[in-house]
Amino acid sequence: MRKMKAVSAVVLGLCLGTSALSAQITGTITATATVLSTITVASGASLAFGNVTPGVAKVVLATGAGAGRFDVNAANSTPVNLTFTLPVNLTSGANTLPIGTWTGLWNTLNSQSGGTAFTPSASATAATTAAAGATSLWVFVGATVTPGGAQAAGAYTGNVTMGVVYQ
Amino acid sequence: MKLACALLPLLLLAVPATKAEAQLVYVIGQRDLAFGGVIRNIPKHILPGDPVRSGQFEFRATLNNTVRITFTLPTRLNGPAGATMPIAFSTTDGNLKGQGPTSSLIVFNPNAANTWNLVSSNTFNVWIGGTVSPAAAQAFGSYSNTISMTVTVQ
Repeated sequence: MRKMKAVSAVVLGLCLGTSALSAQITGTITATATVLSTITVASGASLAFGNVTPGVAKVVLATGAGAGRFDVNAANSTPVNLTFTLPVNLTSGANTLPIGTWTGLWNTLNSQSGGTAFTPSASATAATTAAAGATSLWVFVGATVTPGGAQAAGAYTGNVTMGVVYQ
Repeated sequence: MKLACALLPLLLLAVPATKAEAQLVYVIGQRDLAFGGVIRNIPKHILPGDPVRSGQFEFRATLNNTVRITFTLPTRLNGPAGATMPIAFSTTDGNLKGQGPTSSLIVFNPNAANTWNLVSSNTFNVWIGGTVSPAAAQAFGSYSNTISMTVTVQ
């Protein structure tokens, strides 16, 4: 009889131990972050339409001569988002010249061939910087100006603004 | 009489183990808390509601039980060559929602223990956000550390 009590006590102890372990479980995840260099954007070239004729639209493609260019310094091999603030008119004093039909191209080389075409807009466009080099992204933009038949003569200008952020 | 005495320990062994397994089925880490790229001297906060970057756990327990959830939260992320970066969790950086159709989102403080009664769902998603604060001279590179969530059925 004494032997039976001892066996019961041992078994009960095992039961309590199993119960306590089963009622608590831990899961893990990892918090991650990557410290990157500050992004800088330089104006590489102005979007230049040259002379335009009243009543005749003029197109400058992102892949063509006269395209505007932004030079981006950012961490290498890193995804970024590009956003644009685009004018709807160029201005010359009180006169305006409509501009639209924007085209874009980003490249990890300073070249208008072999890049990735996109449509510049306020919405984010994903791009990835070059694997090496301080300047790691080149962005080219083109557009179309549409002078009216009675467009006033003069020099018209407007600002094209590009924002770049890490994804 | 001898037979009855011998069976008693076996019953004691079987019943509590079965009940405990049913109370808490699993806890798993489903998604890392991913801050992505951060810039020196600019804190970055990831909301627990961020569908891509927030950390996510899932646990399952039996309905009508009380569960206690606690986190082991880092205060630093570890980076290259021994560099560290502060990480903090606000009182609203925890979200909990059952997968049942009538469950609603609960915002909680992950820095404290939280206890809930499971009445509408047996499976729950837990999301966690946080803030990293890189220093002005923070070393470039990748940083990481572990976040643990422990669920206890009371």
